[in-house]
Amino acid sequence: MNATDLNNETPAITAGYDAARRTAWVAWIVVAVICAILLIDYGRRLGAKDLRSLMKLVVGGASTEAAEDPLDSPEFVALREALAKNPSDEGLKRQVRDLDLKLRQEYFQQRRFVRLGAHLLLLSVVVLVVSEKTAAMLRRRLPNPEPVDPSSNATRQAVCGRWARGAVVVLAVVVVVTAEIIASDVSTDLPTNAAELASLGPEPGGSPLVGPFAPAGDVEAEPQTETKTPDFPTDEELLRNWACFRGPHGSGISAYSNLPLEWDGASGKNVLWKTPVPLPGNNSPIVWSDRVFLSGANEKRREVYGFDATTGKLLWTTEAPSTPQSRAEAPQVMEDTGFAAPTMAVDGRRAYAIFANGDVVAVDFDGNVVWSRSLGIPDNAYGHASSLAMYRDRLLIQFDQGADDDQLSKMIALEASTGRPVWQVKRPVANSWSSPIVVQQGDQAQLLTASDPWVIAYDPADGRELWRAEGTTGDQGVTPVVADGLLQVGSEYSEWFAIRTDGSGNVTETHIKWRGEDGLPDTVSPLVVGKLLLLSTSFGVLTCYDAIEGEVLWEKEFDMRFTSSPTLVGDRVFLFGQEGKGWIVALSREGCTTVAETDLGEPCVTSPAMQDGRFYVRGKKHLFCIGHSEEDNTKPE
Amino acid sequence: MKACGRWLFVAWVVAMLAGTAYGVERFPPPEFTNHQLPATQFAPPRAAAMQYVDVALLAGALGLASYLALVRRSRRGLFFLAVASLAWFGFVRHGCVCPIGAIQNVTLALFDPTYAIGLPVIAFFVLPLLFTLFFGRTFCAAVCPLGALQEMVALHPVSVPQWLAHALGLLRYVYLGLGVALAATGTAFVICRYDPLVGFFRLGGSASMLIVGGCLLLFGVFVGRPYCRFLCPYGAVLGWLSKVSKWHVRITPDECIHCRLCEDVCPYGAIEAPTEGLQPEAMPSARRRLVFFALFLPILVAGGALLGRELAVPLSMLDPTVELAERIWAEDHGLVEGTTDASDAYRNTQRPIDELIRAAVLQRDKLAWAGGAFGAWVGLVIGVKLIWLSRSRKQVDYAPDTANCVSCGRCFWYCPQEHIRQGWIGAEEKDAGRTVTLR
Amino acid sequence: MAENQRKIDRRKFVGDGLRIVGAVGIAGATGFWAGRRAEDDDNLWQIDPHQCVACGNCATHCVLDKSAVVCKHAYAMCGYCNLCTGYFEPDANELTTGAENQLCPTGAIRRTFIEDPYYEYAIDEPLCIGCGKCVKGCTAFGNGSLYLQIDQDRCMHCNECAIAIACPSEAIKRVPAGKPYLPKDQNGGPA
Repeated sequence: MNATDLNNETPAITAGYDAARRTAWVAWIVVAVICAILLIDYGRRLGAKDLRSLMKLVVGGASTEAAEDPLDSPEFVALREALAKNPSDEGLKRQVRDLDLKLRQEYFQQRRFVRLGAHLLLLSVVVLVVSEKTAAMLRRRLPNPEPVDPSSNATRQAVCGRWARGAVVVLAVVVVVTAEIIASDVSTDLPTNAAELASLGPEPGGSPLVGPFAPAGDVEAEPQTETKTPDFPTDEELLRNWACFRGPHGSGISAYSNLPLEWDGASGKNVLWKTPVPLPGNNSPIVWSDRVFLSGANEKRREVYGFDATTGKLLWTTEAPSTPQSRAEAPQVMEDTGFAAPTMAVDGRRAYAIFANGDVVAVDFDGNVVWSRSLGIPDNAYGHASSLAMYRDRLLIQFDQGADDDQLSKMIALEASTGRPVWQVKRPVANSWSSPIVVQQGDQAQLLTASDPWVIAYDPADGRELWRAEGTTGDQGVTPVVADGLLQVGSEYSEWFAIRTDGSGNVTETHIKWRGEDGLPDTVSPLVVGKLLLLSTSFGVLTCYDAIEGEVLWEKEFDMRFTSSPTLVGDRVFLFGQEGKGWIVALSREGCTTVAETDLGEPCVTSPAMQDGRFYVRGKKHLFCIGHSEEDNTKPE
Repeated sequence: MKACGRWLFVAWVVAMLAGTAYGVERFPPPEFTNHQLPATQFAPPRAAAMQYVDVALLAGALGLASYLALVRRSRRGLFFLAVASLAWFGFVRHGCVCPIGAIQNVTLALFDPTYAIGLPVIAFFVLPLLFTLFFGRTFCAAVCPLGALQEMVALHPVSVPQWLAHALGLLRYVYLGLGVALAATGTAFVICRYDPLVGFFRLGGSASMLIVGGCLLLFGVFVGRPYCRFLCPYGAVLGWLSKVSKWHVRITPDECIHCRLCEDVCPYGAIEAPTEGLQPEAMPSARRRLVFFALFLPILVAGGALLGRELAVPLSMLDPTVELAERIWAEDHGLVEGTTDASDAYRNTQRPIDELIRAAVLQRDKLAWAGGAFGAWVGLVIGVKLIWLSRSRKQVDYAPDTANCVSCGRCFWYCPQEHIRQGWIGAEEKDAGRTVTLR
Repeated sequence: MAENQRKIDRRKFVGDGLRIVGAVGIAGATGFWAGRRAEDDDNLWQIDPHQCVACGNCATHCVLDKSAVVCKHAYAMCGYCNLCTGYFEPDANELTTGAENQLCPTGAIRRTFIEDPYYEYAIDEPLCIGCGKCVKGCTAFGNGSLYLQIDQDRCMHCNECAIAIACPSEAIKRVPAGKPYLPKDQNGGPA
């Protein structure tokens, strides 16, 4: 830099300036052309055919999301489809290969082209900047300011200040209006306040495990056990109610013996009430204090019903919230199974239902949905039928599906209050229709499951496997029972097994007390009466074993098909045939004697729910409550 | 989905044929007798030490820029340093991490104790601040690649009216507030996401980003450094630090002769003319205005906070958790058809939906606070600006406005005093500077 | 004059004070941040293959024209299947390397016969665009030995990863520079 820059212009400088100027112009044109080419190419990649659609793409701010897959070209897709129709056409194959190669080459060619374009653009911008800068430097001029009165500076400042304040206010207004527009334009579907959020359930971690089953040794948690009531029913409550399929411990044994021994649906004798159930379902009623629960479903709708136990009034019907999945497709089920085969469960706080499509719902006693979740449509040959079980504040779902090596089957424990999974284990078993049961064996609660081919016991607290035994192959539709430390389980196409529950690991070789081959049931669950084990086939044959030793004691045939499982009331066994005809029988080692014959007057494939002085049973259309009516003379004194 | 169905069949056939067992992979890996399994190749990342090289280069560049601006007073030196910084921090290092974006990292580190922030990131954020505190915005002059890129293209600058520049400059604070609010809540790094120029450093990026960036650069040919002056959130911070800087670039270290040659040459409108302040007759109204704005300030802040809280919902839409929760909620309540990859992915994790909903609502509550703080900040900025614009300013010489001057050194050449100082013209020609007439 | 001088002195004093406050503030904040940072800086982006759902966003959302995400192969996990569900189209015409049978849109997987009935599959990374089609096929029906990773050599290390924003399963996370990859067969992870 020297003084000559100031005002001298030599011919050399003029020539240099002109050259720089010209270069700059050329660079401007090159930059514009490259930009245009890249833009057009970009539009072509996204499928813009003309300038208008290109503008649309650019204005619409198309991201690279639409970036192409080289083999998405319609031509290629068409060729592939043609080949799928003519799988052995060698000519077509060659065409596919040729086009494939061409498309891939084009694809990478195109990427190289963009890369090259970017580099050329950069280079031309550099040239542009250098030439422009050179030109500017070669003709750098001092400005020639007009003389101004220095005293007007203050006025200028004042004017500028006024304008600036105005502009700031305008800007503020623009910001406020923009914010308002944005705020009113975007809405949310989520709960907006604490109350709505609270309806989702208690805060996570809010319900500590307390009560008689609480793990010992946690000293710090001790004070809490005194102040907080456990959020799950006591054993006594469970005993007094009929909280799941086959009642307390899934045993099918009523805690009451004061039930009527005769009734008649046609004459209405001892029928306290009967109420139609809107949607069909093969699940059995469950009862908690003054509330009876049922679920029903068809292909489209899934509903939970709450009945008043005293009057039989259908208090509420709650439709299970639909999930994207339940809207998308209905599960394939057999007609005999239906869409609501699993029996519900109740814990005095909420009632829970699962449907054939894997949707689980929890409702409170007023029918409000507390939570719902979808487990996915189970791959189940006849339709999901396994009933829900509960352990303390956990809802236990035996979610068996597919074949035994599909790794699809699961045991799932959900937190009853929230539906949050507590644990989940995979099960090496095929789809099954048997329900899980929870029993206390010594110090250990056991969650017992039967499926093809394994019987597996879990710790219901954490899903830890306690033991397993192999052998229950084929369709497993029978729910096992436990008595005297023996798990009674079996299936129609394998054997009957009495398995000691005190084992660990694979107990197939060590803990099977006895096996039986007679009277194997396919649907009806067993009943243990004292030392007797009662099995019932679906075609009406009752077989009695010695429950401890496995000796077959007797058989008796009824002229009726059975689907409903037997229930023990006092020393009487209630049997319901498919047509609704029923028997009340007394058992002994020698045989069984029919005490009474009854008729519900309606087909019945479900099992009854027993309560104090009355029981509930679901017929094909109605829910019945059978109890001692005024003139009933069988009423115990 | 159709393809999936076909696969299921294939998988079933394969499973039947292979007879897989429980507990092992579907297809047990073969045990070869004479085949060595190849090792998967993983290209190593750039050596971690290189980050510290970057930090050292940053410190060196800042030192050099300060030296060139304040001691050597060399516009040419600053320009070439800017070219070098653009090349290294821009095109070689692809613009990340830069001090502008680092605002968000340090904010998140401030609010989220689990967020691990790297030392280089802290250094990138802090070093320019420290240098600015002592030497003015020399970082902007020749170290920041975004600034350098705009400095290069400022070829035909026109001057923006001061009043407009004042107003538009506030956008920097709005952007800063937004970036900090969203970073503090861990919602998004918007300053990075909507950085218009970084796409050029990577020679690629989404089309909208490149097009916006291209337009900005084209605009920058005529309006000097539009991003720095009207958008850069870091520039807003640096401006304040520069105001109290120990040393700062001056048009001339010598006495100003009020030749007014420099007045219009600054492309960034950062040279302030001398003024005697308000006339005595204007003083009472100015004072009233000042009092009014001062009283109005709390109202602006409170109003901004209220309005900002309403932004919780729109802001939360930038948060992936909230977005997912909204989607799943809508799906579960039949408000939308079908599912998305994200909702499917979440459902497949088997994690409970209400855990997600709860997290989303919590995040939105957080954003209500952040939005309120953001609104209050904007109100405060506007109010303070109004007060600032109402004050009486007295100035004797032509001098750079230390907050807005980026120390680019363009004005040096236009000052006759500088020409004398550098010995380009003799002292006797000093007065001629005033009368030199050029075509 | 004295009045002016005092004014200048006061201004200088205020300026110095503010500057000291600023410097102390910056230093304090630096100390706070430095004290808070983890031992090993998590400063690289990487895909957790156990969370990845192979949605295909990696191929389209990276700031690079050719995504920094590529497919990696955990050979030790591979079943060396003849019918590789990561290699073949679901309705593959034949189990040959013919283009009509391949799933990969760019033909980036090499299939080599090893011994009956085993075939080895290798990724030609320069061709791989990270679309994850093979990963989806392999994970759904095979052993899941194919998985996506961010090639740290080509990753731009953006401050906010564009793919991470687009990832539906939040599979992209920061990893320490000392452990830049999350290989599927070495660190195990949840089964």
